Amino acid sequence: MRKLLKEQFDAELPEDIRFYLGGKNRVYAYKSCEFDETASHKGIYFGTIERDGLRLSIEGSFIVGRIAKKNVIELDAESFGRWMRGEGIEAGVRGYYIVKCGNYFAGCGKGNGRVLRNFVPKDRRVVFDEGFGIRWR
Amino acid sequence: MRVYIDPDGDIEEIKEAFRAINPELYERLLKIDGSDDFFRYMVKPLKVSVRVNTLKAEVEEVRENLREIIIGEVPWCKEGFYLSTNEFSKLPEYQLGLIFSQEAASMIPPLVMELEPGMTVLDIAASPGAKTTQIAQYLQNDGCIVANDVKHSRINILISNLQRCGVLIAKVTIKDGRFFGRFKDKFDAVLVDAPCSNMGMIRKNYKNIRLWKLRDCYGLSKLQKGLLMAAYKAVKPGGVVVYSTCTLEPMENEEVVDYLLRNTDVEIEGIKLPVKGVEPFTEFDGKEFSQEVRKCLRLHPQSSDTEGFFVAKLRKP
Repeated sequence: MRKLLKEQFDAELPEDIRFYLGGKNRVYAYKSCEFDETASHKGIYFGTIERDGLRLSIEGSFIVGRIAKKNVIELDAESFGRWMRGEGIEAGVRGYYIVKCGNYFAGCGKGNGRVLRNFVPKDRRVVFDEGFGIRWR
Repeated sequence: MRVYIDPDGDIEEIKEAFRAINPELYERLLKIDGSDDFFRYMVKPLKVSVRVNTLKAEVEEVRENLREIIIGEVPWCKEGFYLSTNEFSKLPEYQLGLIFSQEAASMIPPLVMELEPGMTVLDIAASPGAKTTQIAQYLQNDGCIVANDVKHSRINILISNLQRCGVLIAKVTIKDGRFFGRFKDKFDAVLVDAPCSNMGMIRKNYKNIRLWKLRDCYGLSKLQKGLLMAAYKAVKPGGVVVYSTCTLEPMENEEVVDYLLRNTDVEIEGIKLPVKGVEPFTEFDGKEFSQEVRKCLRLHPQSSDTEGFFVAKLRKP
């Protein structure tokens, strides 16, 4: 995982963050303690290993995005509003990119050289309301 | 049956509404606080409040970005704000996990736990995770939180909220909270946000008027004493146990704290926050409690315009 993060985002996470692989190639991140074995669940969904790269979850993008040196795309407020509503964004990039606006991170998109495909889960999209949904910046 | 009680209506009509829906509750409330203000605030809708999740964002940045809808600050919590809307699905900050919907009074327990990064903390009744995620941000995602809940049905919402807030240090367990009594002197701090009769939650949902039964409180009081004793055993000497409920019933509050005072060498400490409460009960319904329980924080809805709430800060010598 660390190698993948280095290659894809040129990011090196602190050593105390650990990973484990769940079903459907989903990667979870956590910090260890003596109660690891007692737990029914630990850590957070960090991302999914796809055939063509690592697609970070929203939470994964917050952890990696702050230190990533490449494959990060910064959107303006209007585009970020559209992204949060679940729309794809025009962008001339290829592969997985962390999407950000200021210090807000919103997961990964996958570029095909023309459009950045949106992966924001439906339950975390912003419900559009004229004048309110994109009012925050 | 949907109930609407006009908080600006005639006070006698408000009281009559309580009496008509649940006479047993009405009689109990009269003993706890029969004031007009109390009854009026009991039916006044709660102010919408959120806490900024500092695991993901700076307070100042979110405050600036939400300035159009922030209508006030929670005086006792620097991450807490009152909003003019509860349409959270329209807010990117909510959907991205930068803010968490949390009642202002419920921000108090983690504030009095004296939390520092690196600590090992037990949250004995964690779901849905508002206080757990607040604990995580005070630990700065450094340390360990055992986030326990006894009900399988409540675990998914807990895990979902830990995810949304980016909490890396939580270990979710599904056990009867009394199980943790066997971890003697293990935790730096323990939170017992106990299951309760929800008398203080009437402002949040009027259905709690209908649901409240005095006979439930006897069983809950016994359970709360068991949970608090387990927490006391599990905390290290010098560590803090915080006991909180969202009920105003003395059997579930002062009586539970009094039980621990009588059966252990626990010390109770005052809560030094800019929040106004009412005097806790030192006697109720023929029972007498230690004078020490006066150091607890008892919030009636009219005291600081919150839900009804109770907090005790306890230290193991």
